Amino acid sequence: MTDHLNDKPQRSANDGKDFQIIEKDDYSNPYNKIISKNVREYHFIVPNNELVEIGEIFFVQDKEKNINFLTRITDIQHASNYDGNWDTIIRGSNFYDNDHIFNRIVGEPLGCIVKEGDEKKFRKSRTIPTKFSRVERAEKEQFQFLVKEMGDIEVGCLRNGSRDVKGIPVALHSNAMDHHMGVFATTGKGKSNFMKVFAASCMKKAALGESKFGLLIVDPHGEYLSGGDVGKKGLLDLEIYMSGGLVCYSSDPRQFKESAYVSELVIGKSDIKPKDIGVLFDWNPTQREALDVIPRAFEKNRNWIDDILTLEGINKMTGEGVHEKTMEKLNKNIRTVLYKNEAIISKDERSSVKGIIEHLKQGKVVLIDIPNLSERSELFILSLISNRILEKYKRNAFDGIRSKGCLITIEEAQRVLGGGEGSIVRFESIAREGRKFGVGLCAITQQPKLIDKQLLSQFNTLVILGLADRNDRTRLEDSAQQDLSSLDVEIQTLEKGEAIISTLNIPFPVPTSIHLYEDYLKELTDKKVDYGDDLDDSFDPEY
Amino acid sequence: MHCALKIGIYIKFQPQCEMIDKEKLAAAAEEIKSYFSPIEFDEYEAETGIRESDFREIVPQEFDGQIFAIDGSNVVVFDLGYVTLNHIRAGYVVYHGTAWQKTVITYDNLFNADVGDYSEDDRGYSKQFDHYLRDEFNLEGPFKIDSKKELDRISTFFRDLQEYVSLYEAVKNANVEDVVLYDGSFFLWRDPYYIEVLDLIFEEAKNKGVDILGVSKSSKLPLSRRTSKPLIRSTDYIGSSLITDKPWFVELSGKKVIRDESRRGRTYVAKFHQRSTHAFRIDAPEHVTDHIEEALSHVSAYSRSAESLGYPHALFRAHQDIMIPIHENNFIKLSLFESLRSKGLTEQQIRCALNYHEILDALRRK
Repeated sequence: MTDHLNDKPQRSANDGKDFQIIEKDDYSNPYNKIISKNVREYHFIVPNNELVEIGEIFFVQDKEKNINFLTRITDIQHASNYDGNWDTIIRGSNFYDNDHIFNRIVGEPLGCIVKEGDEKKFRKSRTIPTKFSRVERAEKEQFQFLVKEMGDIEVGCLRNGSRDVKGIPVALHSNAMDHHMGVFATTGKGKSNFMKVFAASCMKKAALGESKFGLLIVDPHGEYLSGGDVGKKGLLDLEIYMSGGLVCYSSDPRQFKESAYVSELVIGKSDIKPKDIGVLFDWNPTQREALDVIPRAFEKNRNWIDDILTLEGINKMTGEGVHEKTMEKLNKNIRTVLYKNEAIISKDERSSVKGIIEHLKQGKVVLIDIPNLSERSELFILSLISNRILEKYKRNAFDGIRSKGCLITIEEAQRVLGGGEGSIVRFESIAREGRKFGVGLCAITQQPKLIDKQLLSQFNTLVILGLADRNDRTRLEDSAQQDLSSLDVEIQTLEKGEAIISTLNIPFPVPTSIHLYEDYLKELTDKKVDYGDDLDDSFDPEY
Repeated sequence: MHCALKIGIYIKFQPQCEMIDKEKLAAAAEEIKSYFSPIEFDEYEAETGIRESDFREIVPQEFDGQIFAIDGSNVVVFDLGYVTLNHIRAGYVVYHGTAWQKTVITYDNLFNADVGDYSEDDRGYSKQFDHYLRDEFNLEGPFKIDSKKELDRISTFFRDLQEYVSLYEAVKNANVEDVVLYDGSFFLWRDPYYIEVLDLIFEEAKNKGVDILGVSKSSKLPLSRRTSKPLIRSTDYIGSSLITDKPWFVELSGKKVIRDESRRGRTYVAKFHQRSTHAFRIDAPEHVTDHIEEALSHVSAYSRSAESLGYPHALFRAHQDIMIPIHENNFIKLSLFESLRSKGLTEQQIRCALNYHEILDALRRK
């Protein structure tokens, strides 16, 4: 039995007599001591007026076994020392003995901290804390072991309940990014803020020449570059890491004409391939077959998109067995694409695509700002660039050329990663093959329930910022690599800016307070960094 | 089978047999009904000498002092027939207002109720009493019971002694204007064993300015010598019909019902909350009687707990904290058997030493 039960001295009420005195002191109180239950669930009690929150992490000090356990609160229950329905039959509302009414706290074991040599290491626990082991709210000191487990892309600080644990940063591992990442939250829970913080940390790594992957962000809402709303800051405000950290391409560069880091987004016609058109429309099987015919009919013809519209081009296609009606439909859609994207498709040979890929290979953050384009154009650009990236990385892999990885961000990812007709086809090659070639996806969505279940199970980093819909939570719990089932209530109750991050190399899903981008920006800017000669301040949009 | 009574008691039971004579049950119910039947005021006044004007309202009054409440518990651990081993516990709780402060256990030990052969030379029990009488109250022994037939109550006497030790400790630790409540009566108890002890306690309370009250949950006092109607129950009925929406009390001492004036104090009946199901008998030492209304108003103010409405909550808590639960008794019993085994007794010998009631209980089919 733990010593604190036996070490209370017999004390005297009077004249030094040996009376047993039970009073409001540490010896007598039954609070904050493990009282049950098994290796899967720890119980202890606290006074009924003490604030304990779902998701808080407590520290169990087992002096008998010389092990320190960590437990995360999964439930808080009203409890008392009374049997039966005493509380529903009491007369009146005066209740005197609050020390007999308490809250029973239920926690799940996270693991234990064991000392190995001079180091404290985290292990999964295979035993139970000794009964009556003391329980305390874990503080910075108890979380110190996590610092070593964290990665290099800082996104926030550890959160214990509603309190931030300052000094314990939460950072994702760069080498986990090609294993795909998902950012899930309902509207207003801080997805955009998270992405800006994430991008800022990536910019910092790139500017310091330490980045291990390039980050591609296609921004259809114009909120990342300049911040969007009044008072909000954007990536352009992180001036100290702009050089060597960020390159921007905008479909409307005139509004950023004062910035040397923003250039015009142009797509060369030769960059466009039939499969880029394929993602934009619903095709029947015959039309899809016709799309597959194009590369054969226009082999090595970089100008196929213009040629296919000519009589000669049509004849080439019909010569390959494509029906005239099918060609009509095909060419109608191609004309639509060219017309709708007139603003970004160059009339000469200029193209941003090559530069984008090269900057990504260097590990920079590449932001494609397209606030004035339609949703279909956004998908077109995203699909085109993503396909070119995957092709390039594949080629490099075959050629034995090693380059930094790449993470492609997809906003409203359920549009292209869902299980619906055709949608999964659009990005499935990147989702399924990308990892082999160092290309990962960062899917951002409000509705993970619409993401294909099999694809979701390949996402090894989940950033969950609050989901009200039970079906969304269930889909994530079913697909996550770490057990999230006990976090259901916590995920449901996450406040704006609070997250649960489940990722490789960090031993348990980490409650996180995501930095507010504006604060993080200030923090990064205020730090005096000596760049030396390492910073790459050159920027050639076409490389 | 379930049986629900209108008063809110809900009893679940399974009939053991159908042999009980229903007529006898009906006759018993009739007898109980007459015992509890409401009494008319005229009859009540005639039997007790208590008048309507004797009933007085209590105005609950919170105060800044502490409330001490004393209780004790006594269970048989091992019964050898001629000697029993008892577990006795006594102590007190302390409240400040409605907030529990502490529980002090002044005695928590085994008592060997071995009275020997009751000869002058073999009063082993006396030593156990004399030690406490001498050390706690500075009284010389030997403690001696009046007759052999009271030997069966020896453990009860010891528990009483330990409760008085607790009471004395509580009074010594109390401050002026604190209230000390004792679970039981003081004055009509005819046993002569602790007169000096109580005198010492009352003297200490008087010197310190501490209000001390005995609160009896049960009383065998009859309405009069001519009737078996319960005095406290009948007084409760009359008092609650006279003062319907306030706490109240009435003095019994000096009336027909308690003619003998106690030299140490007076007896009352008090209802501490108008919605309480019970009134209680209250004994107050002489030094409290001159301001009994104030003392009762203090107690009444802290008898409003939802758990024990109308009963001083400190006494309720004392009962909860000091009683010996059955699982604890079983644990001590098992520890004792283990000790016997370690001393070489076989299972068979231990079994033979047990009272056969205990063996039957252990063999119970359900």
